[in-house]
Amino acid sequence: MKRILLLVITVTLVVFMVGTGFSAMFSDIETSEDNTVTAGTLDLKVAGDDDPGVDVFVRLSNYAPGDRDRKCWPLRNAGTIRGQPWFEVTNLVNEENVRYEPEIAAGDLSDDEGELGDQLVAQWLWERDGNSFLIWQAQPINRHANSSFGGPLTDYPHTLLPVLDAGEEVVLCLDLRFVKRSDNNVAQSDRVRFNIVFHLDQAE
Amino acid sequence: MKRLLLGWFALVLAGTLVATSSRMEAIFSDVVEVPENAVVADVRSRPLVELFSPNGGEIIYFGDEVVVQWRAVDPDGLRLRVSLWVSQDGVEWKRVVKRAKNTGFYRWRPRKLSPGSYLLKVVAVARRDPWRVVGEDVSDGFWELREDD
Repeated sequence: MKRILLLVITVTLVVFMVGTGFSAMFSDIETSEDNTVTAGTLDLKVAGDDDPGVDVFVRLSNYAPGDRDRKCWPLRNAGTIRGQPWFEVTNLVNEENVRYEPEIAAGDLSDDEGELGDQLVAQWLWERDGNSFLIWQAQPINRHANSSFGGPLTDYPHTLLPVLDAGEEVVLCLDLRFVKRSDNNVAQSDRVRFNIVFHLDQAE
Repeated sequence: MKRLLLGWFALVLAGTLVATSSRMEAIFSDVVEVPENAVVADVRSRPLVELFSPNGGEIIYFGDEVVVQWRAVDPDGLRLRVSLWVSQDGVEWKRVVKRAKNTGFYRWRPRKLSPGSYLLKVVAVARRDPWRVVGEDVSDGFWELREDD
């Protein structure tokens, strides 16, 4: 019992001494307050607008063999972090409309599908500082259907759209050309409709 | 103990995979869709052409002047040019006049043809028509080219 009492006193004494000794050291404390982590934003503006307020880009009527147009739209990263833009062509539909006599005479035998998409050649490019960079070569627009372009994981990643820093923009252009062919008449009154879907993904 | 260790490794691996895949899908992104872009082709109507003479049954002598007469109208109002062709079988055609003005008549002396029966065809096309849609009319019957008796 005497030995236990001695042990308790010793332990208490040691604890007291150690505690007193530590608290007696020189010390300094600084506090960094209000540390925060705020998520960045990634906001794509196409021609200055967001979905679904973007105007239709391509609305060409009375198109005839030999006609050509270039349509361009600025893509802007209105967010606060870097983003990789890319785009895809979806829901491409060839409409026959009315089959006029010259179409039938030229061999258009079907009411099912229009032929304009075979004769309308499209190519994509981007522009910056007066320079143009071809994204995908000229091909009938039918071959662009359900394809994605300009990103590292797209169907046609040969030339990437540039990564956009916050507030940066790039101009994307679509060249359309109605090629002259001996069978142009089969495409009379036909219509090609398509959607363009623009993406901006967070970049490394 | 060995089984417990194995289970622990499997759990850690699964957790890592889930974390990696969810990180891949969870990057920030934005999408803007622009629907209903459209290109609509023009419509061209065929020029209306009617050949009046020679329209079959005529006898023309070498050295005589043939007055070819036609009417050609473009429904879209474009200015037409006319070419004239002759044939002995209606299959092979030889051009005698190229891109003549659409005046409605042409004075022609058929010197380079041999005697025989012929058809004449008028073909009209608008010079500014990118579709090159042609209208044409052929003599209703053969006309004859004879040497002098």
